[in-house]
Amino acid sequence: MLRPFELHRPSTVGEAAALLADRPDAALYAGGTELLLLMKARLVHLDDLIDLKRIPNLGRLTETGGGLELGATVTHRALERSEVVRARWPLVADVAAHVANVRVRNVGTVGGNLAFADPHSDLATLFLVFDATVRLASVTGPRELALGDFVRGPYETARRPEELLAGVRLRPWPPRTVGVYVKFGLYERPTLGLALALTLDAGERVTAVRLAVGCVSARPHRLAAAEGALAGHALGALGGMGEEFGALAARAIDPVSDLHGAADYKRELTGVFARRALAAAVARAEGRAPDARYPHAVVV
Amino acid sequence: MRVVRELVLAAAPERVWEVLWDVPRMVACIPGCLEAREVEPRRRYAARMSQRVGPFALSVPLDIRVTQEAPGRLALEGRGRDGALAAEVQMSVRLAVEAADAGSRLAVEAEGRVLGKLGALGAGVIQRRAEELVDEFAARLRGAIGE
Repeated sequence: MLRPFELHRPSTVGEAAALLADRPDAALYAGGTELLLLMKARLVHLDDLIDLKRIPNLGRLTETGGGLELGATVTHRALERSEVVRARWPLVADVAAHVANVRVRNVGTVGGNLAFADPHSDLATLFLVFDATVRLASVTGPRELALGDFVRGPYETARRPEELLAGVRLRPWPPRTVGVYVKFGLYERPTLGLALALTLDAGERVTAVRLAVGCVSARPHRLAAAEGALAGHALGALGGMGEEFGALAARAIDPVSDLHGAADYKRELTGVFARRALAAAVARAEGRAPDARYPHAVVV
Repeated sequence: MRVVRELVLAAAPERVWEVLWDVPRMVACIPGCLEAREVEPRRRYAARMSQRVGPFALSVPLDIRVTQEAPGRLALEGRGRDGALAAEVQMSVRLAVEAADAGSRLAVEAEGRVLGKLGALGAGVIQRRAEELVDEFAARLRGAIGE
């Protein structure tokens, strides 16, 4: 049983911001896939909920010259099925298609996922390799932050009590970039998420590497040392660099022990899956289908 | 969770020891400790700890007992329960002050457990928060002893 609370249903971002300014302890809610579970488990007690689903602007998904703009209440399912996303941002659509289960994807939102900052989720890790920025709105005005600065730790973000997350923007990759996302987990929530993108020049040499790892540490982050190890190498040489790349990735994380596993185990997993992600990305860059089938893992 | 820290302080051990026993000043040094009172001098205290991580807010009335007091050494045990969240908190803290160079060295060893659903969900978060708390305590203690 849920305890009684007051539900506010603004129809514009301005109205939502005004409600929030008066009620800094209110929770913002859209899909409710995280928040309502906590309320039902009586782990969170709230007097006010502000429902963002009736704000049309927040549900928009648009592609502009600057990238892919996702309103906060765009659902995982919308991302998975959008023709624009499938055609031009296929990795995003594929990851969205593997979030939790279809009931969660139907109502769970991009903004909810990022703002709740559950350490065991996919989107923040994936979006880091798209150099994402988040837009926050409040009565004092908008604010834009790099996603890496927005997610502070488990369940903690840089969102101020009077701010709401309005949306996120993904930057397009340079031409000749291939990407892979790998997740591993025995439960519905991932134990590890790892996103890798390789950019090649016309001579098939690596010019840029983006590697982000999530779920294993307090927050998802890019691993600059492992990225740097691949830069400048020829595509043909990358196949032999898996061990080194995996070791660098494993060394660069600060893993946290929790019910998904001990810190040592997560470090090991990170090394193994960084190596596997590199093999899959190389295969994709060479025009082959990645032969990447591992137990309890999804490779897209 | 377990946090071990060693702080080098500029004040003499006697001065540090005095501040550790000054209840209002200790309350001000412990982040999230809203109130504390003496139940039985130097043996038993009552305090309330509140912590917030994202949507989770924990507020626990703690029964704190001094289990060891020797010159320069102090051990405490605290226990409490957040009725609304059905979470139980158990903690023990050992402090040791000794003279070092120009001032003193304070060894802090804190262990704690959060039981209940919150403890299961937040296992990774609790260790992190405990480390932040001890570090913040160290910073505020430096202020309290006038460094």
